[in-house]
Amino acid sequence: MRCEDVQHALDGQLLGALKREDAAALDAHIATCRECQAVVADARRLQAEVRLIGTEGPSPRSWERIAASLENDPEFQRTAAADLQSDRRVWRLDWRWVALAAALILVVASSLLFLRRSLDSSAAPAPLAASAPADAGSDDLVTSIESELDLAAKHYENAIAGLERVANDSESPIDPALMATVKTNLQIIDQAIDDSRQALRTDPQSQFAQESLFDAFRRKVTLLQDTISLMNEMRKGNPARATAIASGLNKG
Amino acid sequence: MPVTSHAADVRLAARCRAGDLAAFEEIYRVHSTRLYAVAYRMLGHAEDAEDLLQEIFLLAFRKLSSFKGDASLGTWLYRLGVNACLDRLRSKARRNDRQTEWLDDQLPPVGATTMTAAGVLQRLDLERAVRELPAGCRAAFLLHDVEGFEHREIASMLGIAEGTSKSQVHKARMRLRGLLGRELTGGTQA
Repeated sequence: MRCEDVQHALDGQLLGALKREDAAALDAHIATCRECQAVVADARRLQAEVRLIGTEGPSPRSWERIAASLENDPEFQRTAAADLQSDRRVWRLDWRWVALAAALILVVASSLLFLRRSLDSSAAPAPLAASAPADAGSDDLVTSIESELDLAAKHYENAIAGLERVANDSESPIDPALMATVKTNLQIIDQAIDDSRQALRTDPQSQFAQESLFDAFRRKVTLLQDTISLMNEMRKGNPARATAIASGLNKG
Repeated sequence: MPVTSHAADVRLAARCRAGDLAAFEEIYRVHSTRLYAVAYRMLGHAEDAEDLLQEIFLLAFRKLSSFKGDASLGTWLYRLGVNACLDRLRSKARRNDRQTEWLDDQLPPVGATTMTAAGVLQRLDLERAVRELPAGCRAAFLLHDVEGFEHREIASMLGIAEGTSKSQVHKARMRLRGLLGRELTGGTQA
């Protein structure tokens, strides 16, 4: 390599694009030429020093200024407002779900309250119980509890039917396999509810049967709430969150 | 430089296009230091660099529709930033009516007035020396030696011949060498 070739080789080396054989030729030349050696060394040092300039980054307030300038930009405002409108449209749809969920929770909570009150009163000693025939009182109590249970179940089934109608009308594409899992889980919970109700008919004062029934109701509410959340997240286009919820649904 | 997936970049760009300020903040946290450094070196002043950074983000918002995900979002932003720097340099030169100083045409070496102790490279001196290079010469030098663009690309970006880019980079190096306390010999003769 000659001195006049050094600039070209140096350019390549500073860009990190110098071929191995050219790099070897450059090294061989600067090993014998002090002037070129100085030129190359200075250029490398300059590159390293200048690359450090400005690397401390912008001031801590810089983002605030940028955010303010974006927010004050008419085009940005228009775009953000349009997006907000679109979000509101989505939320108008979502409110149907939220309202349904709220109604469902209310119905179930009311039913549970009725049940607990009935069961509590069955557990407490009734003042008139002594004068009444024991079997007749017990039968009345069981009938009363049964009717409360039936009422709760009726409200419940109505709410679930409403939920299923909205789910069927929904444009949210729910994975059929996942939907099957939800249905299976619902069936299991329903079975638990039936078993608990059967146990309560046999022994209205059974603490275990009461707790089992309440637990089954709670699980059913949670499952339905999660299903609604999943549909909402899918509609909002939030697959990460939807996947997290779906993972919970799969666990039952 | 942080590694982001293509899909993540496209999603982030879509959020920015929709006017999501949080998405812009995400981009800012990842890329602002590099963009600021480029602007600072090109413009020579912290205030100017911050002004330009602000401009780059507004520009990014307006131009994001052109981001198709062919390159990473970081590369796209960087190119946008470099071009914004060059535009700012050109308009500054026009405002100051210093077109003749856009390129280095045998100006006196800066080392004579900016060098401190011989052989000692002071950061502030270096910054000032880079700043005092004619804008076009500074741009060519920074784009090549610091940012890693080839002369062919620089020629296209600055609207000059490839040979001019080479000579400007060479001249910038020679002038800045004065700060290193060495004699300006030209260094190309054996």
